[in-house]
Amino acid sequence: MIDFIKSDKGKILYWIIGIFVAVIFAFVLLPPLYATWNRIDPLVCGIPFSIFMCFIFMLVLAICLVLLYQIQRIRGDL
Amino acid sequence: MTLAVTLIMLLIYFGGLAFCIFSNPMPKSNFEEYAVGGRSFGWPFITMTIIGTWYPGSLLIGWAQMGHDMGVSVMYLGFYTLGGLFVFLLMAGRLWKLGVKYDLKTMGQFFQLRYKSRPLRVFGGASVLLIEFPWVITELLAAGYAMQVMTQGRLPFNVGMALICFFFLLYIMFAGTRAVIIADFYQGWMFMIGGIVLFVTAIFFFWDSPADMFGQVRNLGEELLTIPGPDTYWGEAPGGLFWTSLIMMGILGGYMWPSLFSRIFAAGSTKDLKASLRITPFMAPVFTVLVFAVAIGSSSQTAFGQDDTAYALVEMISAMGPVAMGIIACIILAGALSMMDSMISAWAIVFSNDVVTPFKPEISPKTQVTMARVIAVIIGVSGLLIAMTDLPTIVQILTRVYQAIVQVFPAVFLGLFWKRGNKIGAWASIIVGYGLVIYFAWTQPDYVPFLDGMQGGLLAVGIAAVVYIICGLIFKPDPGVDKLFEDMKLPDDQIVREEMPPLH
Repeated sequence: MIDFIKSDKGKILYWIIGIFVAVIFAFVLLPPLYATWNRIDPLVCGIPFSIFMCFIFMLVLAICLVLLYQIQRIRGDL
Repeated sequence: MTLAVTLIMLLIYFGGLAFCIFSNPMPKSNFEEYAVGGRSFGWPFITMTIIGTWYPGSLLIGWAQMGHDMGVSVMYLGFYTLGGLFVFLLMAGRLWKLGVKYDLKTMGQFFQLRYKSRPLRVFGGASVLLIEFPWVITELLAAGYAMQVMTQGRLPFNVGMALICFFFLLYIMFAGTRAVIIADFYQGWMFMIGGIVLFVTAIFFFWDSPADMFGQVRNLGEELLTIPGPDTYWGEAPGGLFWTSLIMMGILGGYMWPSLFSRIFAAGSTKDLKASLRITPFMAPVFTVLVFAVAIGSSSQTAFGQDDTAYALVEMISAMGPVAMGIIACIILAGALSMMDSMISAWAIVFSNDVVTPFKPEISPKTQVTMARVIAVIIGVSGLLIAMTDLPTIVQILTRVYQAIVQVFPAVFLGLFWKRGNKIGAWASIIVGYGLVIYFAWTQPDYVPFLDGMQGGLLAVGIAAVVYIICGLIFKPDPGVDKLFEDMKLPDDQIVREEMPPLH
C-alpha cells in the first residue's frame, strides 16, 4: 500500500478523497441537499437524524483530513 | 464550602499556568523569538495552540445560547472548523516555507513579498487587526463571567475582566509568542479533556440518556432539532442560504485571522505544522457535537437561563455541584485566555511589524520587541475599556466581523496557488470586498433577505474573487513571482534564509 501511495499512481488518492469531501460538503451546504437529512426521524439510538448526520459528516471529514495528511507525509508532499 | 472549592480550583488553574509560562523564558531576546517563538515548536504545541486559538471561551456562552435558542443550527461551527482545516492543509506548507526563507511573521509581510507592495502590507496588516479586535472584547466578557462564577458573584464583573487582562498582558510581555504557545498547550488540554468529561457527566446527571435528553427537547418543539432551511422555515429563520453562508464564511475566513495566520510561522517544520491534523479534526465531531448537544438539551431544563439564555448552560452545569462549577469556569477561562493571548500578541506583532517598521526600517530588533510589548498593553487595555460598555450579543458581533475578514481570502489563498494573481488584483479584491461588506453592514448586517438569507459578506467575497481573477487575466504577473513559487516547493532542509526581495 505504501509503495502504491508513493508511486505516481498514488496521486489518484488525492482525487478520490477530494471528490468524497466535495460530495459531503455539497450535502452539508446546498439547501436542496441538506434538506434530505435535515429531519428528526428516524431516530438513531434516540438521537434525532439531523444531529446524528451532523456527527457522521463531521467524523468522515475528520478522517479524510487525517488520510490526506498521511498521504502527503508518505509521498513527501508536505 | 462552594466558594472555597471554586477558589482552590482557581488558584490551581492560575498557579499551574503561571508556573508553565514563567519557567520558560525566551532563550534570546530578538524579534523572531518574540514574534514566532524562534520557529521551534513541535506538533503537540502547534496542535494545542490551534485548538486554543480556534475554540473561544464564549463557545460555552454565546454559541451555547444559540444552541439553546435555535437548536441544531449551532452545529455550523463544527463544519466550518473542518472546512477551515482543509484550507489550512492546502496553504500552510507553502506559507511556512516562505516564512522560513524570507523571515515572514505576519500576513502583511506575505502581501509585501507576494505582491511587491509596501502600502498593501500596511493596509492589509492594519485592516485585519481592526477586524479581529471585537473577538478580544467577547472573550473578555466570557472571562469576566467565568470569574464571577468562580467567586460566586463576589468579584465585580469588570474587576474580573481587568484581573484576567492584567494576567495575560504580563505573560505576553514576558515571552511573547513563546509564552502564548506554552499557555495554549496547558489550556488546550484542559479545555478538551475537561470539557469532554464534564459534558458526558452532565448528560447522565440531568437526563437518563442522550435519547431522553433529545426526547425532552422534542417535547418543547420539533424546530429545535432541524436546521432552518428550505423546507423548515420557523420563527425569524432567515432562509435556506443562511446556514450555508455561516459555514462558508467560517471556512474561508478561519485562517485569515492574524492570530491564527501567524501561528503557521511558529512551527519547527512543515511536518510539525501539518501533524496537528492528527488531533485537531476530531475536536469537531467529538467536542463540538457533545457541547452543542448539551447546549440544545439545556433548553429542556427551564429552571436555568431565565434571566438570559446565554448563561443557561453554565447555570445548569453549575447546579451539578462546586467541582463542576469550578471546571466549567476553568474551561471558559482556558478558552478565553488562550484566544485572547494569541490575538493580542499577534496584533502587537502585526502593528509593530507591518504598520510601524515599513516607515522606520532602521528600527533595531530590540526596539521592535519593546514596541510590540507596549502595543500589546495598549490593545489589551483598549479592549478592556470597550468590553465594559453595553454591546450586542456575542454571536451577533462575531458573525459580522467574519464577513469582513473573509475579504482577504482571494489575495492570500489564490495568491499562493495562481502565479497570475497580481498586485492590482489584490488591491482591487480587498477594496471591493471591504466596500461591499461596509455597505451590507449598514443595510443588512446579519443576512440579506432577497438572497434567501445569505450573508452579504459571502456575496462580497465571491465578487472580490472574480475581480482578483479578472485583474490576473488582464494585467501582468508581479516580478519575481516564479521564484516564489519555486521556493514554495523546496523541501524543508533545502530552505536557505534570504532577505525579502527589494520593491520595484
